Amino acid sequence: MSRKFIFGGSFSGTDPDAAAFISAYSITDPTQQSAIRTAVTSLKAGTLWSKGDVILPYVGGNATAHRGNLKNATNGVTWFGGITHNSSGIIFNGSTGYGDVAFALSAGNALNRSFAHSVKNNPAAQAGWSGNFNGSVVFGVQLNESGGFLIQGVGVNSLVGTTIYIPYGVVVNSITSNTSGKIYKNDGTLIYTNASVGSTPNSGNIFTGALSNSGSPILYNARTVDFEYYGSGLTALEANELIGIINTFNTTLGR
Amino acid sequence: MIVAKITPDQAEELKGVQFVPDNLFNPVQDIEGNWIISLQELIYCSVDFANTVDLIEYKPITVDFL
Repeated sequence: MSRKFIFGGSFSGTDPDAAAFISAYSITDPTQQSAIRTAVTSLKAGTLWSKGDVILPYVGGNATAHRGNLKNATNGVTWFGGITHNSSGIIFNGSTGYGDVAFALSAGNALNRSFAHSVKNNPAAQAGWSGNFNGSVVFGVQLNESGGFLIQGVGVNSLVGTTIYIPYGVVVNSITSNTSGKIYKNDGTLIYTNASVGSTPNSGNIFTGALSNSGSPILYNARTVDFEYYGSGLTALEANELIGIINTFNTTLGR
Repeated sequence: MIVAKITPDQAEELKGVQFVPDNLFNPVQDIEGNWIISLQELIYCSVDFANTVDLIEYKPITVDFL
C-alpha cells in the first residue's frame, strides 16, 4: 500500500513574520537571520508581540534595511537628512538627520502607549530629544552626555526637567493609565514615575533622532541607536522582558 | 560641527529628494536663518553644486521648554 504524506507547515520552521522581514530587506547574513528569528519568537512568547506596533531591529546596515518594521515589513521609518547606517545601527548627526516612525500618537492611545530605544553612544555634551511634542505635552526623552550619560528631560505626557544618570542601553517609556507614566532603564529599574499623566493627547507620528514639534523636527540628537519598539503601554514585567530581548538580540550581533 | 550653507533656492531644490535609497535630503535653518545641509548629505551632491556652498559652524536653533 502506498502512503501519501501531506505537509501543511514550513520546512524551515521559520516564523512567518521573521521570514517576511528577512526576505523584504534582503538579510543574508546567517547570524542576523538567526537573531531576527530568535527576537520574533521571544517577543511572541509573551505579550510584547501583540502589544508592539512598530518594532525596528536596525539590522542590515543600510537605510533601506533600517526602515524595516518586524510587525509590518512595508511600513516602518522614513529617513531624512544625514544619518550613518552601518552594522552598529543608526548614528544620527545632531543637525539634519531623523526618522519619521510610522507610529502615530492619538487620543486613542494617549493613556496606553510605549516606546523603547537602545542607545549605545551619545557624543560629549550633545543633547537632543526623540519623541513627539505638541507645544505642551511631550512623549519622549531627552538624553545628554555631560558628566556622564544622563536623562535630562522626560515626557510621559508631561514635560519635566530632571537629572537621572543612567548607563547606555535600553530606555523604556510607558503609559498604562492616567496615573501611571513610567520610565525604566537598562537593568529594568524604574527610574521615573509620572502619577498625573492627564489625558491630553498629542498627535502625529513619533520621530527618532529629533523631536516632532507638531510634525516639524526640532532638537536633533547624535545618538547611536540599535533597536526601537513602539506600541501599547507595558507593565514593569513586560518592560523587563523587552529589555532582555533587545539586549540578547544586540549581543548576538556583537554590538 | 561643520555643515554646508546653501541658498534658499538650493534648499527648496533638495528638500525631499532621495540622495541614497530610502534617505531624503533634509535642509534645515540654523539659529541665524542660514539654510544648511550636513556634510553627509553634501557628498551626494554634484561637484558643481558642492562648489557653490560655504562650510560653516552649525549653530542649532535652541528651544527652551524645560
